[in-house]
Amino acid sequence: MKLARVIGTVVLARAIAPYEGRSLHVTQDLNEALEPTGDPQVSATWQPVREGEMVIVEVARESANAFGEPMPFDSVILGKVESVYIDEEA
Amino acid sequence: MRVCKVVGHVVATAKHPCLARRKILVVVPLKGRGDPAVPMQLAVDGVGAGIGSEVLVSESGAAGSLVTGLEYPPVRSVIVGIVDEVGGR
Repeated sequence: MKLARVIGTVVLARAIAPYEGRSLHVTQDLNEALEPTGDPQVSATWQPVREGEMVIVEVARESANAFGEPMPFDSVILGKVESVYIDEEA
Repeated sequence: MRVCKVVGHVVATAKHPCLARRKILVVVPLKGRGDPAVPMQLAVDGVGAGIGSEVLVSESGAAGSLVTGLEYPPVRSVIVGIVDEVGGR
């Protein structure tokens, strides 16, 4: 799982059935300093999220299991993060 | 699987039911600490690890299944052990 920030949304004009009506968000991975790193990606979401929020993102095959029955997603937002604690001395 | 160090934790109240009552820890590969190009990695704690622990992190659905109790969980990053010693460093 990764910590990411929601930086946008994606609206599809036409899609295969599992994607119809789904909220899709652009997420950006964060590093230890909570700064953006890597390339943004598109994630389905298990719950409504807003731009700017920090979220937990799971990727790869397991993300297809977030909606009960398997869905053709490879990245999904699993939760909203209220706070992050990093111990600089650890 | 990778040996990582636990450096923090996250608090998330609104989350998928499979993560309810689970401790979500921030882990970094032992050689990735401080590298701004390395994204922060999160893992569900399955063994009672704490900040400062060196742990073994599995990226498999089977480990996620064991920790969450779900046959097909949406989680693959799981702390499956606390490292006592790694030889050959």
